[in-house]
Amino acid sequence: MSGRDYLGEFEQVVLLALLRLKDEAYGAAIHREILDTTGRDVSIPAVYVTLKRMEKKGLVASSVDSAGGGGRGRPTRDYRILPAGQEALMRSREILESLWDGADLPASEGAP
Amino acid sequence: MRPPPPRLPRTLVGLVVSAEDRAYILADLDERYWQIVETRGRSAARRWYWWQALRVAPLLRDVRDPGRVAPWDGVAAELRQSLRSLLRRPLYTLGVAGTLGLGLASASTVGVVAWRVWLSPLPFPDPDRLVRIYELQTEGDRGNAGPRRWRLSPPLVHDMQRHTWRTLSDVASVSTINYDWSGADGVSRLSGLTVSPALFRILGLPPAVGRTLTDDETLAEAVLSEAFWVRAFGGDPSVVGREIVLDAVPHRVVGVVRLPAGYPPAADVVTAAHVEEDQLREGMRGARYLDVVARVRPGFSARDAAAEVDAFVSSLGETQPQHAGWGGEAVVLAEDLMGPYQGVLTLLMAAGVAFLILAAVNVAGLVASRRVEGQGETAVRRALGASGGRLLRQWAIESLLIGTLGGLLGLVGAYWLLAPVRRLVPQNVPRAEDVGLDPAAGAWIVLAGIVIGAVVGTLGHVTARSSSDTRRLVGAGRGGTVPLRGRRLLVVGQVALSTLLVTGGTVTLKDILLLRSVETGFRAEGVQATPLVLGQGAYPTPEAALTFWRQLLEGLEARGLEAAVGVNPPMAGSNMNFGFRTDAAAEEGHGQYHSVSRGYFSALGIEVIEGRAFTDADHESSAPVVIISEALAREHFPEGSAVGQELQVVATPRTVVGVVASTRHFGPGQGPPPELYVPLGQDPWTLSHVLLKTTRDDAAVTLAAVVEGIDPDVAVAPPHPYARFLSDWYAPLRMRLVIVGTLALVGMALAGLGIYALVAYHVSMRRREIGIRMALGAPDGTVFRGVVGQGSAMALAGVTFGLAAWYAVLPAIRERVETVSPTGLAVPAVVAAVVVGVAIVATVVPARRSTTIDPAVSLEVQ
Repeated sequence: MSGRDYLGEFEQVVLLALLRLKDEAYGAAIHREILDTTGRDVSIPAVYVTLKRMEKKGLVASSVDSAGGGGRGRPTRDYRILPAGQEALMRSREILESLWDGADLPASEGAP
Repeated sequence: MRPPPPRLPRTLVGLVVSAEDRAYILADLDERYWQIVETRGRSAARRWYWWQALRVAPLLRDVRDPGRVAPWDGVAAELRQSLRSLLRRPLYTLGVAGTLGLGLASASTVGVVAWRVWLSPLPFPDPDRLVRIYELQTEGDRGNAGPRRWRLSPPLVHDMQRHTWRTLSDVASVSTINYDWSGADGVSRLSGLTVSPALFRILGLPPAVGRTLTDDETLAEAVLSEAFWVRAFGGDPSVVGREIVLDAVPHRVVGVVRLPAGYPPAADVVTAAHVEEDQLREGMRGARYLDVVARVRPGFSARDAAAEVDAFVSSLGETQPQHAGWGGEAVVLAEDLMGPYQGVLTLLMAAGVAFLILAAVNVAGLVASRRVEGQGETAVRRALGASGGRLLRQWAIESLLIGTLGGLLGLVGAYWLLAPVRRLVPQNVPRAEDVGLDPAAGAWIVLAGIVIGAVVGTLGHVTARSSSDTRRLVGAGRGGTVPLRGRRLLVVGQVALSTLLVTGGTVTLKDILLLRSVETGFRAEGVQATPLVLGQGAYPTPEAALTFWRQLLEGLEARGLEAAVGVNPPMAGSNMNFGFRTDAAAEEGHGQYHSVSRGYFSALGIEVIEGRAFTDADHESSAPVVIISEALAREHFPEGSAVGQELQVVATPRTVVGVVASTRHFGPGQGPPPELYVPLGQDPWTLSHVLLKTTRDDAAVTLAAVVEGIDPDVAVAPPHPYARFLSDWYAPLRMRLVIVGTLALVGMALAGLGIYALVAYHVSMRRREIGIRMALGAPDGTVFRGVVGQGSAMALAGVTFGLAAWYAVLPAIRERVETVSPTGLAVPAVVAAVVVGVAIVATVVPARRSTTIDPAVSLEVQ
């Protein structure tokens, strides 16, 4: 497995947000989902940068409604995850799980 | 309704992202913005939006279509390249940035001083309705042409405060006083103001703590200034209600007030000016020493008030002989405070602005000549495919860098210039202590440098490009001369301006030297002085005060010190203009009043011209006597001797026993006023200067010991050399000299740089011509002389215009600035020599380079 296939941490966060949002995955919604579930106040430009990079890699696809004639009444760019993206996400999870397997955290001193 | 998202960051995002992404990204940002407004409030949402906008940059790099070239492509590389190119030519870089910095520093120094001292409004509500009142002498003293302003006497203020005014709501007097404060740590000296309680209403000064003073005359109350309250009581609010002992009289502290800089004079404590019977004697109508301010009622102008005040004082003249022939005046306080300085400041402002313009022009000139020299480099870049726009951008970046450096140099320069200027601004200039650089002013200076540098530098590049176009040089040949002629005129203008300034500086220097040789009528050398104030509580009667002064003089003499006491000594800053009346001619006049001890004339070296000085025989129970100054004697007793004549001085008939030399009471710049001296024993005051004719180091210790021995509650400051009064007097002149001198130096430097830049530019432009001439065998000297001659011609033209301008503006300057002496021929000659000398030096450097031109190389380049 090459390094290129491995998802960055923020890429995983964004992909998981896409999965959770299903058909409602556009910039503002993704931003809020990440904030609500992880507490991380990332910037919307950062989200788009990541999405565009993953789109180039074929992990996600997007459709633009630039006139705003769609359901939300304003211009949006909706994202959905592609099979390659799902696969990459799964692989990342497996890697982490296999690493966690057998990794014992020493009890921290002074912990209750 | 939903609040609109902040416009500026939204625009920023819109500018940065590509057109196809713009709509939905902005829509996303707006949606989140409104959600955050609901959950965390509008200001948090605005902050969030800004934060988003500032993080939009990565989107650029990643999102942008790789085929499209954005205008900021390669900016970083060009920045590095420009930086390297500037660092390779440190002299050029420093020269251009330094020129800009010089202009900025001088303009901003002048600007800061003018703004703080003059332009920023007084911190009072409706400052335009605050007026200061003067009594106006329209006729009277012989030999004085035109009306003269005087302050007001206590009886006149009393009358005014009882009068019902149509145009004025309140009238208040202000006078300064020193108090001995008996605090926990012993007695210390406080500066105080005694004011009519209405002053707080007039100025609109609210109490910071407690209340201000009331009109109840039975109360001894004090208001503390905020600065003193913090310094002495640590800002403890419980001080209000306590008693403090001022001049041995307990005063109740009723409040704390922040006294603004500028007006009234700075003070630690403010007490109410209660009018005492003694001050309302008719004889006191000639004691014009109170500063009076008033507030004009809404609906009336200062002019209306002036008319009413004039009518009031004039009508008093019908019943009071002391006001006969007098009128009144009301002038806007702010204008009155700044009046004496307005002229100097106007001139300085004009010079500051002119410098900035000249600096900008010179920057353009230097950049242009550099660009012509670097033509090869540009040609290579063009050949390599750099577009015109790209070259322009490169120049803009270079200019921006130079502008930034120039702005920083200007900031440092202004900082350096302001420190001595602040020290030199005389203490009595209102708000002088406010003069300083705050971060906002500093930021403006740097910003101005960046903007001017960028714009002017780019212009310099552009003009050089258009005028050095190869086709024009080779073909029409003289295409470049049109902008050159304009620039030559500008250089002449610069030389003219600096000539004007150098002349101003030289004249100021000459004034100072002339005034130094003026006979003051007294000798300050070897005299030490200190003011001493006796508390009115401990010394309520003239007899008590007299006893103290006698004991003091005896004590000092017993210790071998030649000492004297005197009220209102020359040049100490006091002005006691008292009225008198001659019996013989029934003439009225005014003179500086002094109450002095026996040794006063000898201590100050004031010569007795006729009759005698005071002796121990002139005491409280002997016949009332007076000694007058030569100026008074000449004016009122022009024929025969004044000795033996009778004078009514403040309602007391006195016999003239002596005539002494006149002193320049107000300094060397003004003629000696008439003066009246009465013996200490016949009019002992509770405040006086102690004069010690000694150079002994222990004078201060001895004085303190003697005072302590008589009354430990009297505070006395160590005496200072009397000469300090003179140096204080010279302070404004020195300030003028330093400011005008600095501006003249800056002007000379700028003019020199301007000549240098122009001649260098010209030499670069004429490389081909010079090359041909040298190839045809012209000797080096001819070419060199030609170039120098050109520079000198500009310098001479500039000097001529400058001197002409000096004589043209001289009457206007004389009107605004006192003590400008007529200019003879020596000053212009010296100035012309200096300016032309500098100009020649500035042309020699580029001229020398012209002789090193190798004909083969210079022709090949073309």
